[in-house]
Parts: sequence; C-alpha cells; structure tokens
Amino acid sequence: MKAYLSSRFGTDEGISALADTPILGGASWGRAFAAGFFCCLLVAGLTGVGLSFSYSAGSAGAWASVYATEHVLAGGWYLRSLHMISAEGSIVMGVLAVLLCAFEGRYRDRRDASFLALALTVAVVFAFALTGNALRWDDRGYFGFLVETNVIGAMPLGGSLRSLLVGGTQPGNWTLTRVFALHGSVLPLIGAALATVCLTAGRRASLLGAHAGVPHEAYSHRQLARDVAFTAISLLAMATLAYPLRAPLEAPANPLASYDARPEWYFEALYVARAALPPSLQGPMAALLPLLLGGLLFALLFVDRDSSAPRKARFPLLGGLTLVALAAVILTVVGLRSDRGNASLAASRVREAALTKRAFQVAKAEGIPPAGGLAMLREDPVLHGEELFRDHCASCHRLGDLGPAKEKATAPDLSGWGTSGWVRAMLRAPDSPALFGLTAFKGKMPSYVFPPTDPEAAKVFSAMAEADQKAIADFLAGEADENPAGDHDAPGAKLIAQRCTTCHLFRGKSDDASNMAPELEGWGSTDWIRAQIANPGTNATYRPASMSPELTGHMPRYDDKLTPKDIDLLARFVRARARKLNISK
Amino acid sequence: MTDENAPTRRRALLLLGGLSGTAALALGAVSSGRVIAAPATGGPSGGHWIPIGTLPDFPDGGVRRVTLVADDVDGFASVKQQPVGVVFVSRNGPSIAAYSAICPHLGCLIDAVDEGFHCPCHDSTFARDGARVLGRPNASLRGLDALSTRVSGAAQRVEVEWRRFALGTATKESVG
Repeated sequence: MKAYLSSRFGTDEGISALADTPILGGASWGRAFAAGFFCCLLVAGLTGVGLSFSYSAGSAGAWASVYATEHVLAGGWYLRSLHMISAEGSIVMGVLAVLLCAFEGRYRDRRDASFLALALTVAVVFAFALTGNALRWDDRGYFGFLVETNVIGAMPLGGSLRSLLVGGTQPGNWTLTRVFALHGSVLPLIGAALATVCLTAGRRASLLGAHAGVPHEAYSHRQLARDVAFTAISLLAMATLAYPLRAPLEAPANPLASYDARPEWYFEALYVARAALPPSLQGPMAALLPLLLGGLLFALLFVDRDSSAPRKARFPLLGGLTLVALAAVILTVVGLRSDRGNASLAASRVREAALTKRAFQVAKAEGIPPAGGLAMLREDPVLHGEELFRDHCASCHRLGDLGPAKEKATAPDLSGWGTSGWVRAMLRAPDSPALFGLTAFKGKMPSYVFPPTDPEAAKVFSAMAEADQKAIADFLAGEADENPAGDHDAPGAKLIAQRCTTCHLFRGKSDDASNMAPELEGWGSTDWIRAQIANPGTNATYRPASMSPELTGHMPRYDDKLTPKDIDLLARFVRARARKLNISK
Repeated sequence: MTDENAPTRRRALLLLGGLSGTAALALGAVSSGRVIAAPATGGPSGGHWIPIGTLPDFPDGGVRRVTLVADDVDGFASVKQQPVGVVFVSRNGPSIAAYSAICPHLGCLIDAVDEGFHCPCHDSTFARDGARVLGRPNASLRGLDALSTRVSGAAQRVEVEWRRFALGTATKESVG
C-alpha cells in the first residue's frame, strides 16, 4: 500500500521533504498557532459542507432549514455548534498567529508574501463571519447583518459593496442567495488560494533562505511537535466545547421588529471604536482599527527584510501593533461589559427569548408553513394577536400590561372584560376611570348601586338588589362563555329585558331606538367582539349613534384597515387574554 | 520539424494556451459578473401610496404607530398584503404628518416615548416633530424621515407614500 501511494503520488518523498523543510530562525510559536488556525479552518470548512446539505437559501426556507438542522436532524445541533466553535476558534488562533509571527520576525528573508497571505486569510475569516451569521435569517443574524452592511454603506466607496452584499436596497431573498454563494463558494476558494500561497511561498522562501545561509533547523526537529500539540489541543477543545456552547438560533427574522441589535464579540471592538467617534466621522472612520493594523503589518514587511540585519525601525511598528491589539481587547471588554449593564437591552433579550420559545413551540406543534418562519409567527394567534392589539388598540385601550398609562387611556380597560366581575363593576360605577369615565361615553349609563349626584334624582333612587346584579352578571358571563347549553330564559335574561332595554338593545329590541347602548345578546363572545372591531355601529354591538363625529374619541371601525383574518385573530386574542386578567381597580 | 522552429512553435503554443485560458476566464467572469451585479444596479423604484385609515382614526394632538400593509416583492418572490413598513402618524387638527419608524442612523426600529421618539440600538432621540434632540449625544446625523401624506375624499381617507432613505447620512436621500 505504502509502495503504491509512493509510486503514484510520491508520498514517501513528500513526507521526507516535509520533515526536512528548513524552519528559518528555529522553531516558532507563531507557526504553531498558525497550525492551530489551519486546523480550525479545516474543521469549519468540512462542517460547513455538511451544513450546506441541510440548508435552504431564501427568506422562506432559511430559518426553517436551520431550525430543522438544530432540532430535528440527528446530530444537526452538534454540527452547527462545531461549525461555530471552529470558526470562532480560527479567529482567535489566526489573530494570535499573525501577531506572534510579526513579533518573531517570521516575515523576513523572502517570507513576506507568505506572511501577507496568512494575514489576508485571517481577514477573510472576518468576511466569513459577516456572511455566515446572516444565513440563519433569525432576528439576531438579520439585524446584525443589517447594521453591519449599513456601516459598510456609510464608508467611502462602501455603497456599492453594500448593494452587492445585500442584492438590492433591503435584505431579502437576493441577499441570502448571494451571501450563501459568498460564504459557501467564493470565500472558501479565496481562503484556500491564500492558504496555498502561504504554505508554498513559505516553503520556497525557507529553502532559498537555508541555501543562502540563514540559520535554520529541520521541521521535524521541534516545530512538528509544536504544530501537532496545537492541532491536537484545538481539535480536543472544539470537539468538547461544542457540547455546552450551542450555535445560536433566535426567532425568525422580522424586519419590522423593534430589535436591539448588538455586534458579535469579534466585531465588538470595531463598534465601540466607531461609536466613540463624533457622528460625522463615524461613517468614514469605521474601518480605522483594521486599517491601522494592516498598515502597521505592511510597514513591517518593508522596513525589516533581513534576519541577519534586523532593523531597529521595527520596534515602533511592533509597539504600534501591541497598542492596537491591546486597544482591541480593551474595547471588546468595555463593550461587552456595558452591554451586560444595560437594562433595556436585558429587557429586549428577555422578550426575544420568549418569542423564540414560542416560535419553537409552534414549529414543533404545527410545523413551519411553506412561506417560512415569519409567516408561521404572523399567523400564530398568540403572537400576532398581541401585535395587532399593540398596533391598533393599545393607543386607547389597556389590557394587562399593554396599552397607555392608566390616566391616558381613552377607552375602557379590557382587563377582565367578559367576566361577571366586569359586569358587576359596570353596574356599580360605569364612570370609573377604568371603565367609561375617561371616554366619550362618560355619563351615559347611571350606577345601579350608588345614588346619582342630583338630589332630586337621588330621592327616587333605589339600588338594584344584590341577587339581581348577580343574575345579570352571571347571564352575561354565560354569553361570553359561548356556552351552547346556556339558559335562554335565565333570570338574568329576564331582568335585562325588563330593566336594561330602556337604553340597551337586547335580542334586537330596545325602548330607545336612538340610544347608543350596545346589544347585550352574545356580549363577550368572539362573534360580538369581531363585529365590534369590524364596525361598532351596526346594532350587532353598539349602534349608529355611537359612531357620531360629535362623540370625539369613539371607537372607529376597522373593517377598512384590517383583513377579516386579522379581525378574527384579534378578537380571539382579546377574548382569551381579557378573561385571564383581573379587572382593573 | 527542424529544431529552429521549436522556439517559435513553443511561443505560439504558449500564446494560444494563454489566450484560450484568458478567454475561458473572461467568459465565466463576465457572464457571472453581470448576474452578480444585476440586483444591485436597480435604481430607486419610487414610493407607493398606502392607505392607513381615515382622519378621525387618528387622535388629534397625539401620535399613533401604524404598520403599513401592501403587496410587496422580495427578490424572486412576490407576496400579497404583507407588513412593509412602520410609520408614526401625528395629527394636528386637519393636517397629518407621518415619519418613517426606521432610524436614520443604522436602520433599527424606533419606539415612541412620552417626549418624542427613541431608538433602542444607539440611543438616538428625536422630538415630537421628528427633529433630532440636541444637547446630548445623538448617534443619528439627521432627524426622522418625514413621508408625504395626503387626505382625500369625503371620508377623509389618509394615505402615506412609503419610501426608504439612505442610512447614516446627514441628508435625506431616497433609495426606493
């Protein structure tokens, strides 16, 4: 076997050539880190290939395919974690490799091209990170990519690069196809080419250098052991860390979400540096740190070329490199710590975690529709209902935590609406601030428990009996329960027909045709709420008089603003949520 | 063939090989390049008018957050009646103003707060009229992007012209 490999592929000669490769200047730690770097890259590349077998690039399929990889495919979560760990590991290893090689002078004696190729490979890894994070198409990946491309767009000449990455004005389908092409094909080709240049140019320089008399030792002497050690440590670390450190996946990307975007840790220093600049300089100077770093490295290559005559001029450059590296570390730490102390960011993360949990629940229980994860969330009654309430009702109505401040509400607090408690509160004090006291309907309904303020009217007032109040409340709560076996002729129904139809409609009848008090049949049921939202003034709920323009702040109709599907969802949401809450005092 | 012809033949072969290699590369590069650059070369498509309700729907002197719903195109897919944007609408008597809820700094979605508007990402703050709040660090280089509105008909139908603008710049430039 050995003979076959050797005669067809030259393995014997290749191995001894490798073992004898001269390492100019003796064994190096920088090279050992570089070995670890290439090992991480290799693992990232192979796991990437595996992931591409289960990935669908497009706004509909991206999140769904990543969700399935993480939660459905056997071993999918491990593959994702390993991919993330090896990628982030390559950043750490690569940066350390470049810095150490710079300090050890591993760019001298014709090794400048090789060193430059190594530095560029590390730079390409950052491009991998920028493109790779977007592929999940979850809120974190989407908004991270959005901000990063907007930063690029604000740089001089950055506009075209941004358009090229985004594939139009807004991230969407075309973005995913081209970002996947970059991440999966173009960048790996560029990275592989650079790595090849690094290794072959490095080997050539070593051979020429050894021949020219530069002090050296064989690769197999000490460098091999170091390289093997670093490779083994990297592999072990990656394989084990992939268990506790999982690749992130948040809720499907919603371009209209109020998401508090933050950079990943390896971009943190760039953001903190940029944010520290005055706003007018932030655009042009965003790439300050990388340009400084690149400039210093480049200058080193020019200034210090010969290991037999090392130039003193390299010290200020190395000093500059140290400062930039230290600054990057400090800025990263400062940025991460300030995020940890940010209360509104913490609240936003809690909300996102709840949304993610719901997304996974629905995906598991109902499956993800062909239109994708976001469509799935938009059709979820729990989530979409709340979003609809926030958008359309919460400017006037309170419902639990949702809605304006209590004193700013201009419509009844819906907490507890549909329960007998709410009805009792209406009979007791309809003009309380939590009911109609702050609305255009104040003063329309009298209390049935407390006497009116007018002394003449108070003389003839008698409170409604407790039993009667209970009967009415129980009947109406029964209507809200949508109980098909409910008693049509319950005592409460009789009382309403006798005492409330002075103003209210009940089963289509009222003593006062021009009044605005609503129909009480079916009160609190989904049908009633749907009709109320669509158009409050049709006699199905409130009456045409309640839509008079003179009644400023009355509830508008929504059948011209919301689709029937959304109205239905909103009605279900309000009914379900209101009944779970206690009435507001 | 005699030996004298060998260098000429070799040169000719190298030239041919070089030319065909270059031609192959060029063919691949140019045809790919056109497709790669294609979506990026489309200019601004202009805004479109989206109805958001009637004038009485908006509280006088108040601000309401409105999600705009319209038919949309996402690359190679077209979608019907999807949320396409978010605006803040403020009404002052008969006149109505709308501001894009997309922060002009880096594109995060802005929240309405008591004193005006605030972006959770980098703390940009804006007054009720959309102007940047000065006298404190404000990451945005310009105020909120105002959108054109129109009120028409007996029913006082309100429409907003939805547009997007370049981010991170001091001047407001439409990008479609």
